[in-house]
Parts: sequence; C-alpha cells; structure tokens
Amino acid sequence: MIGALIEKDLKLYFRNRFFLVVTLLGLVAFVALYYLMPSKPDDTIATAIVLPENATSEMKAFLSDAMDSNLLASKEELLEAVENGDYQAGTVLDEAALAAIDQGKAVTITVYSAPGTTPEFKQALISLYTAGFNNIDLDTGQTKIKINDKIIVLGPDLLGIGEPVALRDRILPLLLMMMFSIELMGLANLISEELTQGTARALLVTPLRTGQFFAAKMLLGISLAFIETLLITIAVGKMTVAPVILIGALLVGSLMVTGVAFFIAAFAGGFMSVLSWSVLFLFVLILPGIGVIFPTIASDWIKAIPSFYLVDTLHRALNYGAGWGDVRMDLLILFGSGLLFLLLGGWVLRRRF
Amino acid sequence: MTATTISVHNLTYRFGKLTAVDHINFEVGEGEVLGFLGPNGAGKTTTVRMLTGQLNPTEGNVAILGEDIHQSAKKVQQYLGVSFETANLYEEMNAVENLNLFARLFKIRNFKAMDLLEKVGLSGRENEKVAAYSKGMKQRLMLARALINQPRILFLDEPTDGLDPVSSQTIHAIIRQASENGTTVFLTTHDMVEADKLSHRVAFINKGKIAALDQPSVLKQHYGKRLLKVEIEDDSGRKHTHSLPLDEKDSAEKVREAFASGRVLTAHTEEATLEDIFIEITGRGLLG
Repeated sequence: MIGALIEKDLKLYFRNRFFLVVTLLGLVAFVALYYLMPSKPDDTIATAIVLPENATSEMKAFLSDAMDSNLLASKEELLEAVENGDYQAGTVLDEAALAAIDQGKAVTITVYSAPGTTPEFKQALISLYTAGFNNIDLDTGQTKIKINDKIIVLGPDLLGIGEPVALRDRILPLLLMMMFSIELMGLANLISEELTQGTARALLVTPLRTGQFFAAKMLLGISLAFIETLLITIAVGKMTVAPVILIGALLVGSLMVTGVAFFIAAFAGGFMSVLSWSVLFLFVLILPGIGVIFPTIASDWIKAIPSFYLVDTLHRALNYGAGWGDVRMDLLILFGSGLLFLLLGGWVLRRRF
Repeated sequence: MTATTISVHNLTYRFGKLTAVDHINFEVGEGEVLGFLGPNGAGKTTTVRMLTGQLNPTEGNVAILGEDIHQSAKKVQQYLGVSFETANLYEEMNAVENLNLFARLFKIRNFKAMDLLEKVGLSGRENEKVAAYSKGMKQRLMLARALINQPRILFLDEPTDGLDPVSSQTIHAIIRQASENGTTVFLTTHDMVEADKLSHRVAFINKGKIAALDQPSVLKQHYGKRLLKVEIEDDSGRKHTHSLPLDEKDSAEKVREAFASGRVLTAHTEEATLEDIFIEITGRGLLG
C-alpha cells in the first residue's frame, strides 16, 4: 500500500509543472551558481602609497614589499586610482608625518578607500596601517618589533586558520538549503492537496491506515530531498569529501525538511497558502547558510534555527574536515527537531482528516 | 428476513455543545437500499462518517457486518464502498490510474479498470485527465471507485446531485443492480423522487434525530392523503376543479356527486410525496 501511494505521489509531483520546472531549474541553477563562484579565496589587499621626496630607499622598499603597497607619484594619481577601484585603499605620507613618526609622536593619517568598502574591511585597513607604521624603523626600513606569531589549534582546525575557504565552498550549504526548501514546498503542497481535495478521506475509508499514509509521505519526502541534494553534491564534486558524514547529514536534513513540510501542510489550505507559508519558512531556514557567507551577521540566536545544525555540519565537514565527533551533536539536534516537526505536523494533520 | 449488515444503537455525536447526531437507532438488511433523507445540517454526513469509520461516536455504537466499526475499522472497510458528495479524485491522473491506485489499496489482483469504466459509461475517456471530466463523469468515476472491491455495503452521498438525466439514470441502474446482487446501499440524498424510486425504506433525519423510518409506501399511507382531482365543466361551460379526499368515510358519495355535477374533463389521483410527508413530520423543508 505504501508503495502504491509513493508511486502515485511521484506521478503527481512531477505532473505539477511548477514543481517540475522549479526542481529541475534548482538542480541546474544551483550547480551552475557553485561553479560561477570563485574557486579560490581572494585574500589580497591592493594598496597604494605616496611618499615625500626625502623618503629613504629602505622605507620605499619596505612599504612596497612588506606592506605590499604600490608607490605612486602624487596624491592626485592615488585618489584617481583608488576611486577607479585599482586599489582598495591608499594613503599619502608627507614630510611632516614622516618626521613625526620618526620622533615617536602620534600622527593622524588619512586613508582613502574605494567606493563600497565594507566597515569590516575599513577596520582591517586601519589595523594594517597602524601596525605597519608603528613598527617601521625609518632609518633602516625594518620592522622594530619582532613577534613570531604561532597559533596552536587544539583538535581539528575548524576555524581554518591560515586556510581561507573559497566563496563557492562557503555558498554550498546555502545552495543545498535552497534545494531542500524547493522540495519542502513540493511535499507540503502534495499533502495539503490531499486535504483540500478530500482525497485523503477517500484513501482512509479503504484498508489503508493513517500511519501508512504518513509513512508514504515521509518516505517520499525524505527520498526526494535526499536524492536532489545528493545530486548537487555529486555535481560539485564534494562526494569524496567526508562521504559518510555528508550522506548522514543530507538524510537527517531531509527528515527535517519533511517534518517542516508536514507542519506547513497542517496549517496551509491550498497552493497559494502553501507557497506563502513555505516562503516564510524558507527565509528563516536559509539564514544559517547566509551566515556562513557573511559570518558577521550571525550570532548565537542563529542556533535557534534548526537548519543551523545542518548548515554547520555541512560547512565544517566539507570545508574544514570535521569528523563524526565534531558534528554528532549537530546531527542529533537536527534529527530531534525534524522528528518534532513531523510529530507536530502529523498530529495537526490527523485532526484535519 | 435478510441478514442485518448495518446495526446502529444510540449513535450520538457532539461538536462541543452542539449535538449533531442524537441517539439514533436503526438497522439495514443485506441487499436493502436505505434512503437517508434530511435537510442540510441535519446530521446525515456526520452519521455516514461514523458508519464508515471516519469519525468516532461520542456515544453509542455501530456494527457493520457484525463487527464494531470503531474497533475493527480497517477490517470492516475492506467490505465498504464509499462515494462522497464532492468529487475527491486525483485530477491530474486519468480514470484508469485513479481506479488502479484504489485497487492496489484493496489488494485486488488482476483488477480490470476498463470493465468498471464500461459499467459506468466512461470507456473511451479512460486516458483523459480527470480534471477534464464533467461533474457527471466525475460522479460516475467515484461510483466506479466505490465498486472496486465489490463492496457488501455501498455508501452513496448525493450520487446524482446536479447531474444530467442520462448520468442519473446510469447511476440509478448501478444502484439497483448492486442491490439485486445483495449489496446494502446507504443512500444519502436530497432528491425525494430518487429516494422514492430506489429505496426499500427511507429514514428522515432532522436535527440529529430520526423522525421517521419506513417503506415509502407505508409512510405515504400513514402520513399522506390520497386525493382525486377532477376537472368538471358545468352546463354553462364553466370549469371547476375538485380535490376529493379518498380516505374519508363519505369519499365515495363525494366522488359520485362530483361526477354527476357536469361533464368530467380530467380525473386523476394524487398521493403525497415524500417531501410533503417530511414537511408534515418535521415542520421544515428538505433544503432548509
């Protein structure tokens, strides 16, 4: 009986042109988007500097080498180049400033930044210049303070210190969450239609049990979500990275979105209602994925969103080599929240039959 | 006396403070067609939902084929066929796919959907999506779906509501045939003529209670008045219409007098309809 229902639901899912197109488009577009993103992290900062005529050759060498700043001839040339985006930042040091630095006095330096520079990047520039100028020996052009920075990471290097992650790898958990969300919408619509069109009642006056009805929907939802996201991970070549954790995370993630689909279907009545509810949930569920791309937007509140534990698992396992021990708790919380949504949704749905 | 297939005892259902079905009792025999009549909100659908195991009663019990429906719902539902008032078919699938799905749920082997579709007059349209069907075609397909498991009890909720005469006739013929084959038919309808034509007995339900339950002819005899309507032309050429009760002591004399008063143009008998009787018993119309 469960097999008959799954077969029927598959037919209905793929006969719905909207979901067919959105699913296929999602599969293609998300993979394409992944490959369109930069494959290597861009961690270089291009800066320029204008120095007075009397600057020593040692200082010029230091600034262009150690601080990776290009020497320009005039302030006008620097301003134009920075505004055009040739450099992300630039500064002009006149003779007075150099003299003050030499005497150990506080100096105010104006840093020109390119249009659209983020506050975080501006802060990084300030740190860069402050550290650079505070440590220059103007006579020798050498750094005065010698610090051997060494960071010892206890356990796996989950923060990836020294190993920045490429944007395409940062965006992957978000793309997978988007695919999950499409599937969530499709399944919620299938279940909701059974209620609004009264077909669930027709099914349940046959020997089919309510539990079998739910089991069929659950199996279909988990299978579709799992296969679709698995296809994406295969297409982007990530299946070889932590394959067991990846499969586990996608399976538990599929359970979570199936649970949310039950929940949505329990409250929605009709296609538009399903869409509205799904969009609402989608906005919330993709937030942790956005948090991976822009880490500064997320703080502890993001852990209240169930999808955080899926995104966190995927991000750490795929990008930082986390093992089972590191993601076990995430997966348990994800499984628990998925089960909770399933039970709550199932309970409300049962009352609507 | 045929075997009892449906036995209802003190069946009650309450929605909060509202009593939708109020301690009703009746039995239906094998092969019998029971017309279940009542206005909107009288408790018909709630009763059907309890009889088919979709709803647990607040009080009382229902035995279907000797089994308590609420304790053995899935066992009993194996023998039930249910056709709903509103079309609840899979519109994106065709007729054969719809029937095959339900045949699999009933675990019927070697099911031939085409035989059933032919029976309900849908052969030739079997590969079209149900969404393209007319209301009558959907009703016939729902009836076919209800017949998949050759049910011992058939629950039909307004099976001909809004249908054209041809579709209605097809459905009537199937109901009669099912009854002749020993299937009990529980027919919920607004259509008094349909109930009169098809039902061995009718039950009037009003405000959750059964107001009357008997054969249509008995109800008519008991509650209705038989009349003789005579149109007479007198000597001056004027026409008069007389309604003469046939069940009174002096009926014969009044008929003789009427016939002697002029030239009889037309004469026909009239008997109360089920609707008249329903109004007389409950004080309200069926659509009220």
